[in-house]
Amino acid sequence: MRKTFTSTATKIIKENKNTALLLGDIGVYGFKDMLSAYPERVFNIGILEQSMVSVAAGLASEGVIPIVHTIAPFIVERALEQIKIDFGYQKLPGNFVSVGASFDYTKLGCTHHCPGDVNILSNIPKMNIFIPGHAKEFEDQLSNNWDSGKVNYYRLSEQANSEPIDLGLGEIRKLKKGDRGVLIAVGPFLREALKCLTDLDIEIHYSNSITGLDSMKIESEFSGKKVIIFEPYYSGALLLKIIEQLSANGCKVMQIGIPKEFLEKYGTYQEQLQHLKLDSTSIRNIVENFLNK
Amino acid sequence: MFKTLSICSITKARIFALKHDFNTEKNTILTYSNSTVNKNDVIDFQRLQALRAKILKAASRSNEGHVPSAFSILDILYSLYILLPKKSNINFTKNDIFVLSKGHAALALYAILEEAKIIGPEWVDTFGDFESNFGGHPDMNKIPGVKASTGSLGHGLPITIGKILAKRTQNVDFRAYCLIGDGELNEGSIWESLIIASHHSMKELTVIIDSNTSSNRALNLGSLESKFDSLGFDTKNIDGHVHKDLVSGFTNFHTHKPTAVIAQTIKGYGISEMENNPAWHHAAPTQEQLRTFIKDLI
Repeated sequence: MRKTFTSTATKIIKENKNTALLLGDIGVYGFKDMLSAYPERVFNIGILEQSMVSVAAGLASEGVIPIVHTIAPFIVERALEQIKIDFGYQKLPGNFVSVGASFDYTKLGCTHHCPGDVNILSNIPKMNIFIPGHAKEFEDQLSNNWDSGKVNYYRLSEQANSEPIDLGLGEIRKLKKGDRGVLIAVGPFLREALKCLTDLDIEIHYSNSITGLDSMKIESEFSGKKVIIFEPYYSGALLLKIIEQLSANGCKVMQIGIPKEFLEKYGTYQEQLQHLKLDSTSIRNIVENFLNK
Repeated sequence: MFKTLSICSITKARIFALKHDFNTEKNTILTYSNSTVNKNDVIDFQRLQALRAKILKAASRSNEGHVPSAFSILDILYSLYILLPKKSNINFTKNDIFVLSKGHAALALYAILEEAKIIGPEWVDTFGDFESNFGGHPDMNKIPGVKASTGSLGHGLPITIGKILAKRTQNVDFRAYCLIGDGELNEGSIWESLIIASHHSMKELTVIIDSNTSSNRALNLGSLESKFDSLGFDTKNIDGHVHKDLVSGFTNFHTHKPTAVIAQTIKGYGISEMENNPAWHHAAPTQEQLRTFIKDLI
């Protein structure tokens, strides 16, 4: 997805004079040619995330739409107030592209983890959050939304599904039929779901964004069914968008997401999944137990 | 402390002299205690006293507002919006930019925007009301002439820098002024922004520091002049209540360095009970106090 970010952002910057790219000293090598070719619109602005976001807002306020890029916790958690006030409250358009997701940088430790980003940002009114499950999905999301007039957050990950699925903002797509329950997988977690749950008699749905609107709609006859929400970050953001629909249908809901604990182990991504009981075997057991209750 | 007392004595002498010239039509220089005053100064003084009265009235009516902070910067804004355009082609309704980063001094901005005929007088009688466009901090989506919705300190300067970067892509002539408080200099984002401005040789930028020393009780920043110098700014240290010096500071720029105007000011300037009195920081005058203060102004 990082390579796709470089190519997509490069295309946008080249084709649109009313854009700017701000790098927080991350991803600089990939944009070295752009930094030389467009010094007035492409900046390695420095390791100063809160100012980077405010500078981006200043650009937006004068009609230059910014794309801002660095590692997830530094932009979301360090510069949250700047995103909230300078973009959200001031109603300015902007694009924030992060890398690292929940714990892609497993060996770098907790300082570079950001499982809280989606829930944190979903508290900013009207903010759109994209959780692409595939590089192609991200390419489409950024290309179609960079000038939407909204504040957009794109959560890039090193984890990806095998195939892209073409979804609109806030869309939830049914991928598989079933009678015993409904599972909604978000972003790259679809891969885990398809790996271990395909043979179960459940509907599998997919989403790769959390809209800034109040609600999202699931197309399903799920009255009274058990619903599992499977998110690659701290649970919660998607449930808030669909809770009225689930309540109205008397659904019993279980959320599976990144547990709220500091991940103090290193190792590989797969080792982290096993440690957190988010690997295929564990997920299968959790889902079966829930359905059988 | 010496500098503050010195400025205080000069400015009080000027106010005293101006008050005594209030009803005269003489176009003469008046001297009082080493301070000289001419007729234009008298007119400016009268206008500013009227603006102070409006600010007091708005705050008292609403029981809200940071009046001393507004009075600290009123001369700065008057010099920027009213006096500077008479001596230059600065026009804040066109390409030039002003951002009030210390948004809690909004009452001064509202008063000056009205004086500059950018907004009407309604702010005085609606300030803080439920349906009002005029709150305790300025909202750029509600008020013409407000370039950023500030209030949380440390945002306005980096926003100004972003505006400069954008203006540079649009090939227009402009200047950008950003007013920050010296207390706001506690914020890390300010120092980050100063580094950015210096790195990008933002000769278009003038950072105005409202140096009223009110936050020294938390952190004493020492010499601001040497700090801004070392960061690559063309730095001027002036009396923030002397219009001539302010206008001069706002019109003289370096060829490639950003400018810093350190304006030595008195928080609460113009109302002796408020001057350098922390009790008034976020307090509004009662009706009785309002009558007393306005009587004192006139």
